[in-house]
Amino acid sequence: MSKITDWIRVANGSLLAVAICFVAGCTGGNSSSEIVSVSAPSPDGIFRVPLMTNPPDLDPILVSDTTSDGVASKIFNTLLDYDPELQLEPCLAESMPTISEDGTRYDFTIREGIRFSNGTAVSAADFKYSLQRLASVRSKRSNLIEPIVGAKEAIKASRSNPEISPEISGIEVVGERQLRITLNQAHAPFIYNLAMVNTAVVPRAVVEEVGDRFSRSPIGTGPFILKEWKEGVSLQLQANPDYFEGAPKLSGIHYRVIPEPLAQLEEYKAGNFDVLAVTQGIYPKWSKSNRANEVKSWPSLAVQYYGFNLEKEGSPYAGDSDSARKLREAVNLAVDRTFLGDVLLEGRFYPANGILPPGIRGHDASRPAYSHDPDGAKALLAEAGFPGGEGLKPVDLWFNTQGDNAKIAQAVQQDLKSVGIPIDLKMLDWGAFIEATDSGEPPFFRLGWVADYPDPENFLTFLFHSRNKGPNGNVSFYGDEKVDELLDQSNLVTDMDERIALLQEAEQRILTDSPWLVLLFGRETVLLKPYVKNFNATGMCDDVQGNHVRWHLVELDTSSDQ
Amino acid sequence: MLVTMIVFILNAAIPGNPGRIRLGQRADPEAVEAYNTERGYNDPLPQQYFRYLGNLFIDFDLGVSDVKSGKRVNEILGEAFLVTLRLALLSIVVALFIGIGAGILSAVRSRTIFDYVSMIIAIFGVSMPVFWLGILMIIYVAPVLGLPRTGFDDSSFTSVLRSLAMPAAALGFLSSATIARLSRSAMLDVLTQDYIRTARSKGLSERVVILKHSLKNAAIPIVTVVGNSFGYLLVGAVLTETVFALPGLGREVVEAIKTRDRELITGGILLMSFVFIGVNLMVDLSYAWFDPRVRDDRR
Repeated sequence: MSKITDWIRVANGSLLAVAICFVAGCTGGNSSSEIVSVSAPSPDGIFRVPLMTNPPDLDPILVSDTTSDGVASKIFNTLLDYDPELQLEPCLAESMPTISEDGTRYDFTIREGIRFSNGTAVSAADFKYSLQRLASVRSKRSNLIEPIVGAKEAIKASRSNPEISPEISGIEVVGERQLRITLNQAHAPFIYNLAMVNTAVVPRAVVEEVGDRFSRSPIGTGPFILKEWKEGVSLQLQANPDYFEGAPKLSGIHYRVIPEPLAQLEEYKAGNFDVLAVTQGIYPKWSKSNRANEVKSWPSLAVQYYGFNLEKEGSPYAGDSDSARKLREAVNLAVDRTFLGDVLLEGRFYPANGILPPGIRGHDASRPAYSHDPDGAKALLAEAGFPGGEGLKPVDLWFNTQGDNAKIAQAVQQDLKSVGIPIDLKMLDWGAFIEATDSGEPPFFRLGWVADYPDPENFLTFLFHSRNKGPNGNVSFYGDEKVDELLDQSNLVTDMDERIALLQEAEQRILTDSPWLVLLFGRETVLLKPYVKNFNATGMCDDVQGNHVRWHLVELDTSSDQ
Repeated sequence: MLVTMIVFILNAAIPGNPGRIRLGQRADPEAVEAYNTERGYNDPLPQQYFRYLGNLFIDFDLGVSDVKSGKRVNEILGEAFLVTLRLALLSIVVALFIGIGAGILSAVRSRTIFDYVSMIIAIFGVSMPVFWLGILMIIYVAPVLGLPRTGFDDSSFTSVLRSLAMPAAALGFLSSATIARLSRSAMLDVLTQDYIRTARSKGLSERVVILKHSLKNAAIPIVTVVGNSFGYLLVGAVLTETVFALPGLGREVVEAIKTRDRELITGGILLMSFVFIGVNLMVDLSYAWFDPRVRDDRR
């Protein structure tokens, strides 16, 4: 008995000690507003960035994720790029292209004296080669060149015989520095494709020599050159002293791959990183602390939504009947988006007021955001023939395992339940989830959309045109002839105001049909050390990597008093 | 053969189209189809399987990664395995040092404060999730010891040791808990045997009695656990590798599963199975060294 008592005493003592240590550890002797964080730039002028994952590929035609995009955009250049206000401007092109009156012919002149980092000169022929590579079977973004004359045929030929080098007649080398691109018909959004890293210029001789390995040892014209890549560990870029806009002020960029956000935060606090993506738990604490000046945010060109599958057999939300539409509207009124944004997502997101987020041309700031109106939802539910939810069978809400999806889904489930709308939750990993949504399996599903370019067409045509139903992007299987007509017409119009008016009309029609539970717009939020200057993000895929930041201008101010 | 067959069947059964995942959400269905055809994923499963076996047994070629363009699976797994092997070796050294030391001390000083404290620590070790211990060590231990918090630097022997010190300590501590508990009970059994009493009555020193007569006889269950732990460290250190940002085998295979990198999944699981079987075989063979009666029984 005495032994048992001894054990209990020892155990009690240990637990007490652990509890004291835990409490002491949590408080750390500081108040919640005091954050200890080292603020000293790297003495050798290196900008240090954490990455969650290893970038899969750096070959422009293979880039399809933001991590690879962020690194590749510092190594390569495109014909055009964005200014900080998201207006297109010339990059490797000497000026904006001359566009023919019918909108089908784009004439570019390449800047004089541009060289790849291996010293060879860039010519119009390199651009032709680089754009034609997008037709190859390995390319992830062959759709970017589809509007060009002869591109569809080249893509088809390449898919039937991967060994051939695609030749596209609509891309012509008119002179040493003159490039002409001819489209099958006017396609106003095409010009944005020429600012995407996938269309960057690559050196033909090097690509043909190294083949697939080009993705691991890329050579471009950008402000930085890949120096070393330890897969899964780190990437080192060094400044390109011959960069055409002037040598970068940084001596290099050092990426380290750290999958665990808490470990990244500790490294940031220890002064080992200059920037950090804000994840759960950081924003509320840092924005009210002595380090609030390090919190930077800008609008994210993205929308989060839950889509209804409008062609799902057996789903009460499917179809264009009055009952189904009222049910979808009821769902839109039942959800408290402010709670999702302010509480669950810590103020980094806010209720969406439509499909097009701020920053995208055509975003209607005057349209009120969706309000939380449970009584209105109940009334609509009754009008749809399900008073109090009676007789309404539950559908599954499908979502993938990433980020905050599960807790948002649980909150939405509670909101819907409170007005009488039953749903069940179904969580899958990304691979299984995307296959299911492509095939139209889920009746109700979570997705988001991040802009490829700041044009409404990138949201509306891809996600709602009836020709894109299914794996092409329209996984809500939405179809409306008038919307299709407006979207098609907008592609042919070159006058921007006229285009935007057509696209806004299309957005309004889509919203009236409620194919989505429109959820949230957001702000990209990072921690940035105060000595970092000229990190001017645009919102276009700009996260910690600042994909469209003018990297040659970014500098570490070692003289300022931190 | 059996492993490759099982992995092939599982790979085919897992939902998720490799072309779709590889080409991304914005790729058109024809591109996805063309990709799958080019990579041979549309071929009948037996055809894919025998092609894989042919490459494996004739050229020892595990194929090319779907996700990391231009990188061969042999190369990826070779690099990752080297990191994990070094981590596992260092961890097992830590685990043996702490585990067997604490086990012997607890057994020899049974029912004293040493025994209670080491067993309470062992309970914590068994119960504590490695990612939590890892985060605590990153926050509180690394800055004090001046060790890198995360990452892997293989530029020199010292830098490798410094990179692996924290994760090896975390993993080793957790493994040591099981080893300590088992060592204690095995030693307690042995210490009550007649031949130990005889050894003491012959006037042998306590050190000789414990290290030569007791520990060797208590070794078989300890070796079994150590062997198993080592095997698990080699194939299952994914959480530690994630928290400490080590590019090891576990993390590589988990990433491959997420991205449906079929060649890498198959190669990774094949390598893990091979390693696990190899470690267990070595453990079995070592029994004969620790206890010659095992060898004699076979005659």
